[in-house]
Amino acid sequence: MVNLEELKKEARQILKEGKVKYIIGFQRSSNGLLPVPAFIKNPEDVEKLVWDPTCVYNLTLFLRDEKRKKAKEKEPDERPVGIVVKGCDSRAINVLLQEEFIKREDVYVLGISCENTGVLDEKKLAKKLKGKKAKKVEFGAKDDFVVTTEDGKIKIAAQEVLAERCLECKAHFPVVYDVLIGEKTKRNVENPFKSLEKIESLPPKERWKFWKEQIDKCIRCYACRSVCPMCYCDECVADTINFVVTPDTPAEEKAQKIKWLEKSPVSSENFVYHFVRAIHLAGRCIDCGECERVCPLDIPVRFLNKKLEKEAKELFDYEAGFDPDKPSLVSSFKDDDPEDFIR
Amino acid sequence: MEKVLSKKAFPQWVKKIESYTIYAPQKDGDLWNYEVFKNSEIIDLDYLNTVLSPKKIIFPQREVLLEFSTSDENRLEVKEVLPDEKPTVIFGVRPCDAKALTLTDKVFGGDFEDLYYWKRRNSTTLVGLTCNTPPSANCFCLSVGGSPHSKEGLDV
Amino acid sequence: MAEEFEPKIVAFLCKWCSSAGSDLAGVSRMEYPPNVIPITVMCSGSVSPLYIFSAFNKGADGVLVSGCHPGDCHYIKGNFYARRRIALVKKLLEYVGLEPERFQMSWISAAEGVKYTQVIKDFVQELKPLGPQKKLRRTQ
Repeated sequence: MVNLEELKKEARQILKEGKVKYIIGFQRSSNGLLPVPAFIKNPEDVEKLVWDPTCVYNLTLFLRDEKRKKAKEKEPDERPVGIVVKGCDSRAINVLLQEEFIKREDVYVLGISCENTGVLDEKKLAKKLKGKKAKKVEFGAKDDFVVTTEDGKIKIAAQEVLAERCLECKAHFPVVYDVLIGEKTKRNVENPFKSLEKIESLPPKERWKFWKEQIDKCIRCYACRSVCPMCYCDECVADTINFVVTPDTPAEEKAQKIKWLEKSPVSSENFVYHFVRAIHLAGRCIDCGECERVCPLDIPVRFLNKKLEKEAKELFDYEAGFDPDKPSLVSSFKDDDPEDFIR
Repeated sequence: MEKVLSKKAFPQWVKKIESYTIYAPQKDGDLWNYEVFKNSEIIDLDYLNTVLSPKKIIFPQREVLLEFSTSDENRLEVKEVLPDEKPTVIFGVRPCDAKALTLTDKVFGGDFEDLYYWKRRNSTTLVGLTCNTPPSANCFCLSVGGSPHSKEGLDV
Repeated sequence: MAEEFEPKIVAFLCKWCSSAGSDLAGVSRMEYPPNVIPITVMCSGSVSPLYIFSAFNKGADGVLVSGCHPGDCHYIKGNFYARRRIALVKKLLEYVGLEPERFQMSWISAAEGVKYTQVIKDFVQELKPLGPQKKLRRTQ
């Protein structure tokens, strides 16, 4: 069992010693089941920290904002930022380290193991409770969750309400950490890409129908891009005039900017956007599942990235986020890379 | 004068306005969204709110504004493409979404009226649905001066 | 007589090998189908997946990426990176349901004018029964 007090003690210690600027963690929100991110500067505020199955977010997202903020300061505070991470999130930190987006000294990792369970899928829980509102969810003693509703507490087997990605988890305890809270349990995942089989087994016509239906729904809100810790480009290729247009930009420069895709949410453009994102995340996506969680139209975005994750493993024996010193997927090659598709 | 329509008599009311294009919230997987309503279906009102607001029907994300072509003598011909004013009914609009439409009215009205917006807006009737079920965790109409029973912007 | 469908192929040819190979085919007066729109790039490794998606978006019925043979790249390693990247793009497009015959890659050296004509001939033959590419094409 993960001891929250241990996390609080550690957090209080490093804040008191001034080892970190602030700590990014989870705290209870004023309304709703899921927590909100907490940015804790004072050792006393450490009491706000929580850890339960509702901590679904990938907080490494805020490392990007921290970097941007630091870049603007004249005399930046060089101390690291403390961050509470789960196993999957720690892989994100490894990918950011691999790409030299952050340095190891910039982050103090408070890793928490998910042990034998994982995090909650809110929609699955809502279905299971059949309309009753859940007020609180806690880790139970035996691989189950204790859910508090208005009628009292009930125990639900974790397997039934776990987030989809937790069922195929490759890193249920952090792979990079300064402090590890919880045990490094052993978990056997027979087929980490089992969920893909459902789509892969469809004949091409059905597969097209499935993806067309899903991608047609897209309204290009870019929520998936905003929440992804790997999408840290200042100017996204899908939004070519993201930031460089000022009142002084001459019309000629604006006209000559390459426009790979239209902004309107038409099927063809949506496909290009999602394809480009999937390719840009090949070998970098660590399947934190946030993109799918935040999509307002329930598009299974994860399954595009997951397919490339599978190909990276099967074709090139590459897994994202385990080794920050290894070169990335697309900036390396092996002499025996498959070329059976080449004429 | 207020009239009360029972749920049972609802399909008859719908049949009377058959000539209109009716948009109503329909379930698609786990989400509710506005779809064109076909008479044979029953309107299910057991939802919190749709995923996309009715503004999408009145002010679509993408519309054709004008068409142009070159004629034989290499002259440019421009044709304005105005939306057709088909009488439309949007059913089940929440007070918050209706209030939003009054705000977009201000934007597109005033000194310069946007013809594309108003052609659609004027041919649309909004039938509201007040909130009786508890609001979702993210509802905030009361915090911004709205109300779950507000009639603002709604025609019925 | 009904017009037979003529597929449009966009070919990204690397300047030092494949493009030279296609020039050799032309200079030697070899006959091959005129359905190709050749685009010379410096190296097959410089072909961004965006080019490929953009080609399909604009209505290409088929896309070919062609580079130097492994070990012969003018920039030493470019074609190795291309091999990896194109493999990923191919898998992604197949996964979504696009016909796998529409996207091809080949190694064509500067001396292989014959191979170039053969690759194009085969490509056109494979595309003709598939018909025009409507799935990813921008229609508005």
